[in-house]
Amino acid sequence: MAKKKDAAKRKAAGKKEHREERTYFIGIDYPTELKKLILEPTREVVQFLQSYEHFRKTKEEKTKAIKQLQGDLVKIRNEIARLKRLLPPLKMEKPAFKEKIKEEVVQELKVKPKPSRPSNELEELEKELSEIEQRLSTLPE
Amino acid sequence: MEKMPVFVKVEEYEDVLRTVSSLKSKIESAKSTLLKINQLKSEEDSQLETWHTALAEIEDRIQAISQILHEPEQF
Repeated sequence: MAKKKDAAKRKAAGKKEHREERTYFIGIDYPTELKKLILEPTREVVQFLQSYEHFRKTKEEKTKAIKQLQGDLVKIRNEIARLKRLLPPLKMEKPAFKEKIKEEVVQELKVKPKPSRPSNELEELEKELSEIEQRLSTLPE
Repeated sequence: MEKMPVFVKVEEYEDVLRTVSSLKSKIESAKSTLLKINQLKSEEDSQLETWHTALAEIEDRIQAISQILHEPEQF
């Protein structure tokens, strides 16, 4: 039994020696430069990650500012609507040719009905915009 | 179409003036918010440009490392 163990140990030691014999080393030219070249990108990546934190904060601030601007614009729209309510309505005659164009457009729409989509905020804004443009076009110069 | 005069009740006229004043201040606020967004956008753009340069430098250095490693010392 002891003999078997000794033989196994000798075999393992032999294998280890065999492996060590096969270990080769390659000489690297300019070792200091190489170390420098490895360290510099590491430093830059760390700086990169540091600035990312700053970038994230800027982005958050920008998102907040955009939301604030949206809120400001909604307030402006409401104030304009209030102003419109306060001022007396202007009754204007629509030019005859505009009516004709409108009829043509209505007929075209009847020919090509668009598929109905669920209305969202953007569509409502588009509708409001076209209404305003239509009103503006009817105003005298 | 003839130009028709527009009459507004005195109490409503005061309200109109207040609304116009409020509108002006809200426009100023929106302008300053927009300016802030523009500044933040510039900061972001500048940061992205810095990253672009840094990444190009890192790429150059890795290329140099690769070159050194592929040309081992000659005996």
